[in-house]
Amino acid sequence: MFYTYLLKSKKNGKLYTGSTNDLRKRLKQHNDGLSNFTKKYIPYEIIYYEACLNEQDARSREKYLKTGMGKRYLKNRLSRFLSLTGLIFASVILFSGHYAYAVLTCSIATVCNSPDTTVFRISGTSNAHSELQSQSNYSKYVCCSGVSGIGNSCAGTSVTVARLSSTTNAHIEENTQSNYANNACLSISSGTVSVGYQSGSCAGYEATVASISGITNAHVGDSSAYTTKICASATATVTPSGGGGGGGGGGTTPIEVITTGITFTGRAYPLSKVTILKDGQIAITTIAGPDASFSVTLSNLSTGSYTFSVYGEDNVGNRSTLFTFPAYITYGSNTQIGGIFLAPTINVDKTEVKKGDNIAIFGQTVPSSDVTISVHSDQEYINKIKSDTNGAYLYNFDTVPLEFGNHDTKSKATLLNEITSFGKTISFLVGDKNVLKQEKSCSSRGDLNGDCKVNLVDFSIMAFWYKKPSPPAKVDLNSDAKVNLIDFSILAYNWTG
Amino acid sequence: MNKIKNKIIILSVAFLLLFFASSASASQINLIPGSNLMKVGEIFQIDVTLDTEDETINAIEGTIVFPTDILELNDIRDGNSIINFWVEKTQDSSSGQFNFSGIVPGGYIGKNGYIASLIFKTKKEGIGNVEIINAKALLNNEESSESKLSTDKISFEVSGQADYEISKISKVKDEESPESFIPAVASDPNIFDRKYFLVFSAVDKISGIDNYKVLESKLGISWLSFSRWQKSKSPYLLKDQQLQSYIFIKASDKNGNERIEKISPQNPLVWYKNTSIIIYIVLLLLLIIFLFFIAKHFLKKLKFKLK
Repeated sequence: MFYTYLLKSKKNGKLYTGSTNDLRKRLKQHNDGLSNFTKKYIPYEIIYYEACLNEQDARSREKYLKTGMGKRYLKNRLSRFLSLTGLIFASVILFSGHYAYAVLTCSIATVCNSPDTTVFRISGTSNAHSELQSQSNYSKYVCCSGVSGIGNSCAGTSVTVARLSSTTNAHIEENTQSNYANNACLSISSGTVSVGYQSGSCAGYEATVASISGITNAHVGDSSAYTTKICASATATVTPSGGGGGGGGGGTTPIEVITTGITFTGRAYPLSKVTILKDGQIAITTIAGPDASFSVTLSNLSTGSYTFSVYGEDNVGNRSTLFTFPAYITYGSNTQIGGIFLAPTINVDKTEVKKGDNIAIFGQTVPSSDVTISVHSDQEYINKIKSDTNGAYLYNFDTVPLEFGNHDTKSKATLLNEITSFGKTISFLVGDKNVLKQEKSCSSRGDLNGDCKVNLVDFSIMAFWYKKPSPPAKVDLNSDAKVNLIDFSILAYNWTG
Repeated sequence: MNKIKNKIIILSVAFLLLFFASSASASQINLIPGSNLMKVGEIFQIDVTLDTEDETINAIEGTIVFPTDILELNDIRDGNSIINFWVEKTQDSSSGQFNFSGIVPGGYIGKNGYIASLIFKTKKEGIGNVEIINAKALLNNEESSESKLSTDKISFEVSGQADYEISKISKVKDEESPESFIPAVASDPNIFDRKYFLVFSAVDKISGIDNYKVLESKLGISWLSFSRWQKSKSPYLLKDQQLQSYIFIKASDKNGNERIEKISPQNPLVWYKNTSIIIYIVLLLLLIIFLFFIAKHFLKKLKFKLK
């Protein structure tokens, strides 16, 4: 019998997928530190395994479980277990894929022994001077580890982490500068190393090496001392071990070259148009499948921080709210944003409803999902309904309990363990007559030029009137006789790109 | 061997959704200095960041005030800013003020949202403050309600002379052109009396956009044009209101890398009505005639020699 298995480190919770013909023996080998890939985080426990009669089948299964699909399968398969150990933890570790066992870590240490490597030395954890790793005046080491073959050579596969003004008692500068000649490097015997400088955090990188007070002529400190962080990632390229049945699953396949980009996957509405905005401008659109799922890739991006937004448009042209998130894109990497679940669209059939009559609240979401409809003013009324096979939902709300006056409604959807946030809020009036809602072809606050979009053109028109006297009523969105930040904020809220 | 890092980071949106949990809190615009103790002649960087404290902010504005007798504002960097569209980004060096205002469509939520960096050079010894005044942050909701915002004030001291003089601020290493962008032509009764205007906005993630230039030309190749590039800002009122010209928009980053986008004319001229093409045809004919006479002259000489 051959097994494909999933290990979990008791030390730090990292997950590892492998295959073997002797599960007990292989677990013992892992826990005895006989595997280079797993010995750093022993001891391990097996949290999941599958058995089959063919060795190749087991290896194929192992490869599959290391793919994005495989990880999603494991996430669903072990959802109860993972929810007990923490969903977020599980998501991050599962998705970190091949690198779960080879993640670069850096810290300020007083000892930095081989195979860990000293990038440079510093005089303290803040407001400090630095010296090259070959010097011995300072007691604090900027020490990196976690990836096999890591070193501080400035030759071969290496990257300059920072430049020093002299060999010791030195100021420091980013590798983008060219005032200093003494390089502090991070190298790897076989693989790739990347270094960048980010403000605030090293999101997108594996490790924060240190922080610096400026781009040049700077002091240095530990990861929290300054806003500008020196960030690094290092990945060893390892060919498959190809060992016997007992040792399978140790390596990774060589890394394939891909372009710099980002892939979005998630759920919108069946056959709906899904739009991706990059920094507020339409980057790409796609059509969701009949099951409301979509996947779209944006490539040829530069390295840097981006703000991405996603919105969907349902079968009658109602738009969802923007789902916006920041992401840091690194050169040569493909960032994947998964699990996007757009909030349902919503609309009502009347702008005014006679107290005691029904008002129809409807929209679209993922097929067969649970839709929660909130009607709220002073008191909130929660109603639940299931969407049909086209994702459409309709709820006739009896307005008997509502007071006369304005009321709002909004909705959210739940499917399995996933839940959306509440979507757009729609207002209606409870009065003494029924007034059917006249649907305009498009109606969005902030659409100044009436092209059914809220985008750069509208922004430019508004910017033209910024702080100018007597702006046109159409541009002055909050009707306070001036175009100021509030009008721009309304524009940003209704933005479509 | 593969030289390019192939790293796949999958962010769980379940993780992201956690950020959307609302709580009553206040956002903050922070000033983060590289150092608080400098020498005369040193470069001094202050990062301006936004901590939204679980709120979703889609618009911010403020004024950063600095002492002009001690500090000289040399550069403003916004290459990686969370602000997607700047409404205002002006510096008044004489009064020591930097005014900023901009929006993030859909809103930003996070702890260290990078807005911009101010690069100062210290001019003389002294003690001073840099602070944010008149700041405002608006929430990404239908009412655009105001966030309870707190702002920062930092103190610093300039003492002693730097060991060496930094003659100029070194540029950020940037060899990439600004990203491709999509300009648009529009007209609206609310602006320029319904005349056609051009809008554009480019992004450069490394050094940031420095300037834009626009060229309107009857020819589709910019370097053949008889017109000149003009430094411009969006919205730009088009000279050719007949929309018969090609429009070129050049975005340059702070390192001089350029990206040129082109808009074809909506009402292109037929070639015989296009004066630019006519001029080039005439020039070409003149050149051909000139070459003909040169060749004729040369052949005459050759025949004469052969005789």
